[in-house]
Amino acid sequence: MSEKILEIKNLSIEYKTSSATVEAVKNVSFDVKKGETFVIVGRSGSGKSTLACALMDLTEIDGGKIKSGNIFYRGKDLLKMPFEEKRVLKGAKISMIFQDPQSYLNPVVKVGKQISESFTVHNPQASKDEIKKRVSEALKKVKLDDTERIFNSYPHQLSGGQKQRILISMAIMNNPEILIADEPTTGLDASIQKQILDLISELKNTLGLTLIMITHNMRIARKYSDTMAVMHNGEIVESGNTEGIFRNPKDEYTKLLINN
Amino acid sequence: MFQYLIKRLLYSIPIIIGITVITFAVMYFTPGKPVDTMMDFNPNITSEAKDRLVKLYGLDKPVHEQYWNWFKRVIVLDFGNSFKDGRPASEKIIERIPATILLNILSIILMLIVAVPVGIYSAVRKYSLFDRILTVIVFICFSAPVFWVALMLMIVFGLWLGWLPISGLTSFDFNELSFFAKTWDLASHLILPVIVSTLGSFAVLSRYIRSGMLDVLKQDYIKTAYSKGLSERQVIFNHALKNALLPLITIIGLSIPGLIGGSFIIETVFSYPGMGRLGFDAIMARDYPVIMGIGVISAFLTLLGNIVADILYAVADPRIRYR
Repeated sequence: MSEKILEIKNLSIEYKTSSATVEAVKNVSFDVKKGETFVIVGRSGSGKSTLACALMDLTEIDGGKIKSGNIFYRGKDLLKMPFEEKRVLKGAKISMIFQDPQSYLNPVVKVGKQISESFTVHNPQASKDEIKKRVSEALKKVKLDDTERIFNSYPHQLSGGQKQRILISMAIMNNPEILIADEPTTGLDASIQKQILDLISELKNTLGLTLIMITHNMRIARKYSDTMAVMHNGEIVESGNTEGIFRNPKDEYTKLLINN
Repeated sequence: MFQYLIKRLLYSIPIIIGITVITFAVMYFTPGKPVDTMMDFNPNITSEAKDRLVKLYGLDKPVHEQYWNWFKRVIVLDFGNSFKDGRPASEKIIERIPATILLNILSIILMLIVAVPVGIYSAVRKYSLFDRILTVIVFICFSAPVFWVALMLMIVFGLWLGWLPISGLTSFDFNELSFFAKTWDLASHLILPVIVSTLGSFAVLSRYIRSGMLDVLKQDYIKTAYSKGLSERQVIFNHALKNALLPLITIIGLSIPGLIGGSFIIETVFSYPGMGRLGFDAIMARDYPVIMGIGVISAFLTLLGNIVADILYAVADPRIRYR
């Protein structure tokens, strides 16, 4: 439980808009231990999603820039790695699920193709049978049935819950070590939210994942996490053992969040 | 899908009727009657003869009657006889269609071949040197008047260098040439008109594709694709391209009328024997049956182009197909 799988050191990320430069993440440092559930809580605009995207190397695609800092994954700095070396890790060792399943699936590509791509991109030599086997395993893990129909559907033909399960199946396809879940229940109905959260935490246990979850919901943070960090205006104001923080919050902002 | 098609076709009926009403009204209210040009410069014609001619063409009848008579004939593609040489207008129009289609298909193909890769590349390498140079070129292409570019090219390649012929579609001795010489003769006549008619649309289309691609690259599913571990190339070709090219269907659909209607300016400058020049000559001669024929056909083709674009859209975009 003590091995550090991810170390973030003095990370600062900025976004340039036409009128100003916004520093979305300011000098943030924290460690994630192997096998734990690490939750980052904060209101929208606190920089928590920006932070999650940085772990997945999505900052530049988002139009942001990493100003300074390091992200060590097993001792290697992800920010200094060449693209190709990072690419091999993405979706294989570190993977991510997103806020809104609706917009995170390509609307004009069949779902089946999008799912199997997660496997084939890291196993270009895989045979058809092998692909089929791996994909159906992954779909079983996220408890999707009617897989034949889903496979031949386009995203708009599926429900929000199904889509989020599909995104999760793509993320766990290659048995990653780290799963980043960025507000995984935001776009979903209240009844489905719990199912998805339970599924994620179950997968965490069965697959031995290290889970990093981003949320604005303090109850979710308390229920699912071992360690948490509270973000406010791009800074981590408090971090540590979840129960410890809830019992004895030190920062004023944390107290405010807990009392709400 | 089938229902969608039927609905789409039914909607177009009132539009077609509207097209004919407007075409007719525009011609009817245009100052200067066709008989004027036939008469005014001919001192031998008496005003009685003029009245007889007016009667012959039915120009003395009330508007709605004139329209109805005209409409009945238009339905069967009978636009009347040309005032200029007495031949049926539809015949004159139809014989010009192949040359115009040839010119326009070639320039659409050239446009796609050049504009699609250029648009995509300048989106993917946004603000790179290539993108900046291209922006300048596109602005030049877009703002240079077509007739001026055409004349400049004619001067350079036709007169100074003498490489290419500058007018018509074939040489005088075309019929005596061998097959290969014929092909080259045709091709060399087409090079300049095709380039000139491609320039403007290339500029527009490459900008469209650039902005479409930029828009798609900001979408959330692109982040999913990158986070799967796909390379930039795979993301662009497997995920972004199809989405970015959807708007292209509309543009191609809308270029169908131009495909057959032809360009007045280009065809006139190059003395190209197509629909555009026919239209230009007809307007100069106040040849009403031909003008109205071209007007109705072009409007009809615009409508058809829209329908084709809608259908292609439905084929390409599953979100529309299953609605």
